[in-house]
Amino acid sequence: MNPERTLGEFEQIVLLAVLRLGEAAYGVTILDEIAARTGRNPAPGALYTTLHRMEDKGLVTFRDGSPTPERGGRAKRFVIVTREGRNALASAQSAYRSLLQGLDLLDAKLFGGANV
Amino acid sequence: MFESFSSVDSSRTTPTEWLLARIAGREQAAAIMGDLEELSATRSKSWFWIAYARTLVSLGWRTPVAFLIAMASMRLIFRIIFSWRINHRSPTLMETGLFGVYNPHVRLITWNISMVVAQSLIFAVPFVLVRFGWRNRLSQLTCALFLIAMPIYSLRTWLMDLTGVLMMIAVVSALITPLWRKPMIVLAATCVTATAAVASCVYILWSIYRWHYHALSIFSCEAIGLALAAIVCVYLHRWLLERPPASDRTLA
Repeated sequence: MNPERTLGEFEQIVLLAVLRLGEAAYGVTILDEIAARTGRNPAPGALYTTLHRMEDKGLVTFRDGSPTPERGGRAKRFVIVTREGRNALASAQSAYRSLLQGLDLLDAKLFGGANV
Repeated sequence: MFESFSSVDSSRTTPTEWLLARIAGREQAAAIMGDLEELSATRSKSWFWIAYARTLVSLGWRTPVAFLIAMASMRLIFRIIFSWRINHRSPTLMETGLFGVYNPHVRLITWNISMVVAQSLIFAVPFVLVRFGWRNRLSQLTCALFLIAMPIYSLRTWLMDLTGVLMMIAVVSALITPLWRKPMIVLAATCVTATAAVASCVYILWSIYRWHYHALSIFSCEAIGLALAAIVCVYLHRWLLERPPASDRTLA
């Protein structure tokens, strides 16, 4: 895999949230989706930094929406996962799946037989 | 489907958004402020300001940190170079080298250009490495030119001549290669700004105080000049090397 396309954990979470939201993915909905699905409440700054970095890597791109009154007349910036983004995510997920294959994470043998 | 591209109402641009736009760009700043405003509708006003400050730091910490590290590294490298030079004999323009003894003017030009470029790169290398990371093309080009330029401090005539020639070949090659042209333009503008700004500040200082100026004033001049160069570098990088049009990218 191209090392430049290696994804961090939070990058994978953001990409998955964007893919789940489809055309409705922008800052607020992505934060809500992550909170609802993972129980984490990431800071908006962390999300924007990650999106900015992924844009530089060519994993996501943006498209502007229309300005709305509840946003102070500012436009939403919708996030779109590029083909490179999907490929990077697929590679990362396949690595996880490959490592998990044959493992039962709740099996006590994994912890040296002790019931930890 | 997505709504069509629309311009953000610029009349509502606040100082907070303006400040964020210096770091993140106008469109992104407007979108972030919109998101924060939308989120703060169900939260307190203090949440908005804390989230705004954290966003500002998250997106903008690299430039000031890169600048401070570059200034500190530059001082350290110059100290090493200075101690090396005072313990070794400097070559003269009339030595044989690559150009022979009859071409001191060629040597004068190549040495001076290489020396100025090397000095600028001593600041530029740590700055771009911290600011943009190793995988960035500007960082890679800057490091490559730095390695080519450093033998100018070797104080060996033929090596200094060779450095000047290699330097010019490298710069011209970068400018004629489409992949490296834009990074070279950004780097050239950064180095020219750094040199011109520091030289202008020192000249102004010298015109006013002659030989009576304080070392701290020189340091301030250097800091102002290099800060200008850092700003030019970041802005040109954003303008020339970031944000390819969305149509150029393959969408999922």
